[in-house]
Amino acid sequence: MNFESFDFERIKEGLKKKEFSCKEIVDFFLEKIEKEDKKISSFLTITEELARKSAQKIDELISQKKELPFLSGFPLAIKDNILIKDIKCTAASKILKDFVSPYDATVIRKLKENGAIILGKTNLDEFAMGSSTENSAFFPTKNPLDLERVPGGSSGGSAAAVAAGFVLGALGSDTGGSIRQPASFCGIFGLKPTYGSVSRFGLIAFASSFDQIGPMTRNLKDCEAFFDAIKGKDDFDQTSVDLKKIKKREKDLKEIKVGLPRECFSGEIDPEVKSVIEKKIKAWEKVLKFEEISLPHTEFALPCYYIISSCEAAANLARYDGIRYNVFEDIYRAAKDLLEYYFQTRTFGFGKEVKRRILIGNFSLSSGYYDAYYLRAQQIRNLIKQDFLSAFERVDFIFIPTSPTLPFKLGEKIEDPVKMYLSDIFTVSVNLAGLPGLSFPVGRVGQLPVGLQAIAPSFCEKEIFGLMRKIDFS
Amino acid sequence: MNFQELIKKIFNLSYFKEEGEEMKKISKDFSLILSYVEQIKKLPLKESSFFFHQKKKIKELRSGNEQKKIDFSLEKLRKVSSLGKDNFFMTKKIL
Repeated sequence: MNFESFDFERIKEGLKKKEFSCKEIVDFFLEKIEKEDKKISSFLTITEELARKSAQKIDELISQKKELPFLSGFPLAIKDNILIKDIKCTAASKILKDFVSPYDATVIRKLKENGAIILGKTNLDEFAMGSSTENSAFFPTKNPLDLERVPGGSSGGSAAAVAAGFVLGALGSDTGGSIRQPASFCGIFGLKPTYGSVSRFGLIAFASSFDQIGPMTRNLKDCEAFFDAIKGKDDFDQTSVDLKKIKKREKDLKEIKVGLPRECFSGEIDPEVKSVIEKKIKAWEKVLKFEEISLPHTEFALPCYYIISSCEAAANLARYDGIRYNVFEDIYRAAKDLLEYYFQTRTFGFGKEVKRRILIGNFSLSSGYYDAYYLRAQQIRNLIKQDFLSAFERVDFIFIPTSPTLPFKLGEKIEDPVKMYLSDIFTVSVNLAGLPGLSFPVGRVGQLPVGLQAIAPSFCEKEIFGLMRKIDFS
Repeated sequence: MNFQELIKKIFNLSYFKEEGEEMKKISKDFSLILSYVEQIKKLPLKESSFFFHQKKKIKELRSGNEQKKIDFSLEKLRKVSSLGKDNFFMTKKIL
């Protein structure tokens, strides 16, 4: 049986009716990965033993005629910066190459409890820093839709695995667009939840005031179900929120108003991408009311994001000293003292992009530069947040292109960091403001997909899914 | 402080050795990135309310249902420590 086109409900229904077993699902996807991932390189680790054990549990529940959990048999991949107990977690970095997690991240615990099947850990840009998955210390991942092009990043391995049909869903993390941009490049759905909607406990920290874990799937229904399974308050993450306490907005969504920020539909955007999006918007005018709006501080979002996120990264990555997490015996033996060991380990263990960001972060936080860079960037972050709050007084949702370009070629931007950063120009504002954003496919240029983001006020993820159900985005 | 001295200081703060070809390239990129992020200086800023204006609300949302008192007394920490001997914590000997 070919399970590629199944959604979570069809899987559960088939299991219940004994059309197939959970073991068959695992066999099908593991075989597909084994055969086809050589050319895409989306996985870093295959968790066959874990997947088979979980499948066995589900098959036992079926034979005992017991109630099946919500996501029973749903095959998943996990970005390799999210911890799974007793499984290697590298964050695609040499500095963590042999690190084995001693515990489960909260999202993993929830997925296991919900009966999902974890098939493996996926490739990423080292410590989630990048927009192409070329910054992985191990190998780059290729876009399944065009093997000469990147799958986006940093959750490029997760996006590629979903698009290639190796799994039906994957977890990614989004600090400045790392779920939405690869989802757009691979033609799938990717949700960056509101900051606080999903627990970050067990996510390897990059920039703690931005990081969010979110789902990436082949269809909308799975995306919503996957989000429902992982969301909610967690005692291990003090920034997570009790969603029951959130007051829902009292707006009648019969006449939905969608804002199109003029700053995002001019200048930086590729004309082919713009044309696909505009055609789609025209088609939706029958069901949605569109209004031009302004987000006046958009031009400062990207530099502001790179300063704050690099400052947080410099602080978070200070913990990698070559003693905790991973020891490098050769370097240790050759070093003349502890300080030299620290220097050698960090110089060897981190890749170029990670080093660049740590340097920018430490520079921006150092005395004499703090006010001009870090403090100023925080003030601009507040203005960007205010821009969105004002916009949501006029409109219910905002649509912004996910990426200004189509998926680019491998190696095209890797030598120019600023050019690479510009790939995130339309996604970082959402992280700066802590809002939810869903990237969904709206069309193609040749075989290359184009994605659009639907953005809503904080904690209105369910409204985004409601909006998506109203429109035809195929 | 000139740019070279600044780079040296930042490499040192970051615990990176600043020798080799890779590091030369990174220093070059560093100045490129710096000139890009300096765009934020173009924006005239008034006194801002900063970003803690909703701190009270955030605190309320993030708190759990029950108020928990956390006891961080040394005595309690000693009791929960997995490795201890004669009232001392035991740690790994590294060097």
